[in-house]
Amino acid sequence: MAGRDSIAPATASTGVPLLDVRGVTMRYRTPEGALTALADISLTVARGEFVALVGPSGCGKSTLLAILAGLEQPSEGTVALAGDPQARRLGRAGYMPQRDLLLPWRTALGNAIAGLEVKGVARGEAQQRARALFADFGLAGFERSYPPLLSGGMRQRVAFARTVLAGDDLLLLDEPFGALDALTRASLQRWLLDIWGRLSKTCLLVTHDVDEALLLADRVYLLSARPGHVRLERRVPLERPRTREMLARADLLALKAELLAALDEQQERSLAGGRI
Amino acid sequence: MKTPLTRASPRPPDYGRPPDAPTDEHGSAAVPAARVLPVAALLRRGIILLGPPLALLAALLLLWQWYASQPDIDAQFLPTPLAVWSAFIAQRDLLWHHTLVTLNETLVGFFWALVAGIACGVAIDFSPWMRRALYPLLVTSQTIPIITLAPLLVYWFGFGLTSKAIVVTLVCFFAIVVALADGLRAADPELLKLYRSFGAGRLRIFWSVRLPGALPQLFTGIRIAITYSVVGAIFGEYVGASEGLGFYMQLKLHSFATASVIAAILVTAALSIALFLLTALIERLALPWYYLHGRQAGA
Ligand SMILES: Nc1ncnc2c1ncn2[C@@H]1O[C@H](COP(=O)(O)OP(=O)(O)O)[C@@H](O)[C@H]1O
Ligand SMILES: [Mg+2]
Repeated sequence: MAGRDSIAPATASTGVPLLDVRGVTMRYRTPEGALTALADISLTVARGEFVALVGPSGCGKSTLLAILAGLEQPSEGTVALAGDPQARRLGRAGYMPQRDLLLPWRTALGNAIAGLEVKGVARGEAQQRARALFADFGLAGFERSYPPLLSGGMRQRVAFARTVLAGDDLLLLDEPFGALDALTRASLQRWLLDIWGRLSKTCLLVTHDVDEALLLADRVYLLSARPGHVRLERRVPLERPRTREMLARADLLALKAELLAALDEQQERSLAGGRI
Repeated sequence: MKTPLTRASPRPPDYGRPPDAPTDEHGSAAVPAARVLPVAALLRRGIILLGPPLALLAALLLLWQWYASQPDIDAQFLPTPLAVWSAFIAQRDLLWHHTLVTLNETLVGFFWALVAGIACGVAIDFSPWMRRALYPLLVTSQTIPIITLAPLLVYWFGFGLTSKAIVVTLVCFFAIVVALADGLRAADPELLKLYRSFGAGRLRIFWSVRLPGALPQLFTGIRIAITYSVVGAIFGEYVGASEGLGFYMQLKLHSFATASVIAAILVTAALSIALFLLTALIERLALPWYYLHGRQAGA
């Protein structure tokens, strides 16, 4: 994708995207030989923007998020945070894998402050910040509950609270609702839509659900089958506040059809390609 | 070219959840806070657990009493349970003294097994080289029968506390190291990734994620070790000592005071059980989260 013409200066200014990914390629060495998971990915996320990333499974979405979180270094290309390609990324973004990964020996509140604790925030302050979020996240009264006693939806919200507290501005969500049943997923999407404005964060959401992407995101990137590269980029023409009913609008239906067709095509390719 | 290694990840531990918790609009369970088993339920479980073995034990004791009181059975050869009880009452001060000696040896030996076991378990976990170096040696060390080693230890360290404590340490050490090393290794790789994304270093991850996660396994090892420990101390005393339950038993055996020997055996068993229950209690207090839904299957 070569939609950008000006090279952003290294100093942060309002025009600089919070996240600027350029030409990122990722190769893995496997017993069967080199495996290219990502090929020349370029994308940007502006401050305050909600961007969704959809793509067939195995196309490298999780790999990309791990790179953005600083967990892995790309084989080629650069990732600039707030205009700085040299920035150490670990500890900057709030990274949320698909599984909630709550520590069973900690209470809900104790889990929510895990990231703050690593960053050296004093316990009292961390708990205070977590408590404030718990009220908004529908978790009030469950601060002292242990994760095994919480439902899937609640656990996911505790994990989300942990992510929001851990990340400075940027949230990297890897199919956060993927493991939930359809009803719980729908209610959490509605909930996220509702609190999104108040969080004042920036978000990159990986999902395999086109409806979810259209409902939540300002912009959608569609990745190709492996090796993943940007196949399509579309702006979602919906104002906020949004409701699920808006997805029935003619322009949205057309956009959904386009994305689904492209996704199907890539899915076919990834099936034909054998290994996922 | 970057080449992160692919590694087969062990299945993350499944800590279980209630299958049918009532849910609110977001699919939330309506369980306000941690539940603890009520006392009455614990008691009932205790009766269900202890009832059958106690009944069987009573039947066996009756059978023994009946058989041993037959006129053609020599009381010295096989004393009745009542005779054992009398011997126990008559010798209780002496038995108490020897029990304390054995208990002391057991606890000192166990303490060092714990210290050394945790140190080795952590060392094995921290360095792949240590794992490769230590693990085979540890396994090999288990093939040396303690029977052959104990006399040497007594020869080297004398008849006192040290030689017995070392036997206990050797007997307990292995179960603790292996339990801890395996527990640490079983940490969920995804969880480690999450903590790394917070910017956590190796030490922080160890204290916050790996060690707490390994505690249930460590306690399993400790429970196994503690049941061996008393036997280890008694064995050391058998080989050469001037006090302790093992010494007492040998002494009584030589003077054909069979009832006293059996009394001492029962004291030994009681000591083992008491130590086992104590560790189980400590485990329960240390890991309340692990017992939220009872012990998980397979853990
Ligand atoms: N550590 C790794 N070593 C080797 N191959 C990997 C590794 N991580 C991911 N892959 C491969 O990269 C591809 C993309 O994986 P992933 O990012 O998980 O895809 P997605 O999240 O889009 O389903 C897959 O084919 C996967 O097998
Ligand atoms: Mg994935």
